[in-house]
Amino acid sequence: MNGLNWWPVYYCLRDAREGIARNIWASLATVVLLTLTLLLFGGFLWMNANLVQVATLLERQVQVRVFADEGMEAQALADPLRAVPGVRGVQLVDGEAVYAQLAPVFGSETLMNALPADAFADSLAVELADPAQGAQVVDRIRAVAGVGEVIWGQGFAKVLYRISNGLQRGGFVLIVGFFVAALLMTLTAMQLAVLNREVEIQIQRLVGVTPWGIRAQFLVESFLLGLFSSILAGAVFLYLGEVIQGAIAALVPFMSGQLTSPMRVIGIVLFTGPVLALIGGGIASQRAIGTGDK
Amino acid sequence: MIGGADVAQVPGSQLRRSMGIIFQTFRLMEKKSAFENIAYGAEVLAMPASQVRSRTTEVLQLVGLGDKGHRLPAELSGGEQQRVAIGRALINRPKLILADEPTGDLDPENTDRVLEILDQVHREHQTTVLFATHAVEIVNRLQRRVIRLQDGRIVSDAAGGYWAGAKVESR
Repeated sequence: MNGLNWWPVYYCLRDAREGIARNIWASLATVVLLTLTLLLFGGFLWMNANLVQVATLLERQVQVRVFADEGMEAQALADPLRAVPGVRGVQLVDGEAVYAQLAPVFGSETLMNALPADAFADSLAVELADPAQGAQVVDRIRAVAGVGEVIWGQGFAKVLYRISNGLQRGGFVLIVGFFVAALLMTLTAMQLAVLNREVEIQIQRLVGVTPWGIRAQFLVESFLLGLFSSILAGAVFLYLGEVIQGAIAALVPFMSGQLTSPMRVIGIVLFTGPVLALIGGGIASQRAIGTGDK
Repeated sequence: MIGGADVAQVPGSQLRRSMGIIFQTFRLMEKKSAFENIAYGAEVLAMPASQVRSRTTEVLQLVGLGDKGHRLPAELSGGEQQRVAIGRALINRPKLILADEPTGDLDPENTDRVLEILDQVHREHQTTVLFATHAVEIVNRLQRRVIRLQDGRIVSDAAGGYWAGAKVESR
């Protein structure tokens, strides 16, 4: 054993197992609440990461799609648009060609059958010289006579950022609420564990275990509850993440490669559970046992 | 001073490692056997399991419970439960045993047995036993140094005499 005394670890783990078994309902409630909190936390992080990712992608786009007003040919707008300051180039996009391109992407016969071949109008792909100046150039394009709808990725990115900000504010409140509830539940479970072990604690004090030595047992117990919750939440999160990614890939195939993997968030979920539980266990044992060695 | 250390200077936990404490109420863990109750005192100080086993077996023999180690406290008599508590106090081989009315709840037969064990520990292990009691007959019978306390103050300290006839010293 390399000279290290592993017996305290062994005894701590054994006592923690006994403590969890003795307090099984409080322990289960703690695990359920911690798991839900972590799932919510992980889901929030993942959703937010994806929104930001898509928004960033859109923001980097330099292309603006311009449709002509009704009764006007898109091709006729090509030269006026080339003359707009900040426009690097203009290219005609054939609506039928777009239809042909989307067919394999969406892949669904039902979907394609629902759309006639002339569903997409001809348009112009306008390339901006500087994406940072996008808003001003798009305003100039909109001012050109005969220009109808203008689709610009950066505009959509702003919408996504707004959603992300709203999600962060609402999600923050919700998650803080769950964190507090999970913390209180862990604290209650640990207080019950302390009460159930009143005699053991007295004996430990009598034979000379330091206050930190006594607290270690409760910290190990809360850590195990947190770890178990994290693993459970991580497994459910990964499974749900794969299912959601699969669903998005089926619905919007071109997005599938752009999404943040749930694996990017799993580390935070696995780390947060034990930390949260340790805080609860630490507070409960501090209140019951203290740290002074008198 | 305990074992050469000034009790006012050492941390509480370190001090208690050199002491074994016995109470009138036995304070045993109800869901642990007699063996486990005694062993627990050593386990929490991180003693290796093999050493805990051998020492617990030895202590169980010493307190006369060699064949009852597997029993839960509820399956033992009051005297036997007190002997388990004594075993727990002895497991870490303390230099000092503090026994606070250890025979207060026991019948005469079990009181005799507890006194015999403490006497044996004192003689064979050179352990100091500080025995607090209100029972005059026990004090008289033991014929040891008697320190009499009244209202928290020492009112007499005499070696080897009866309590009733002890020389009173002012402190």
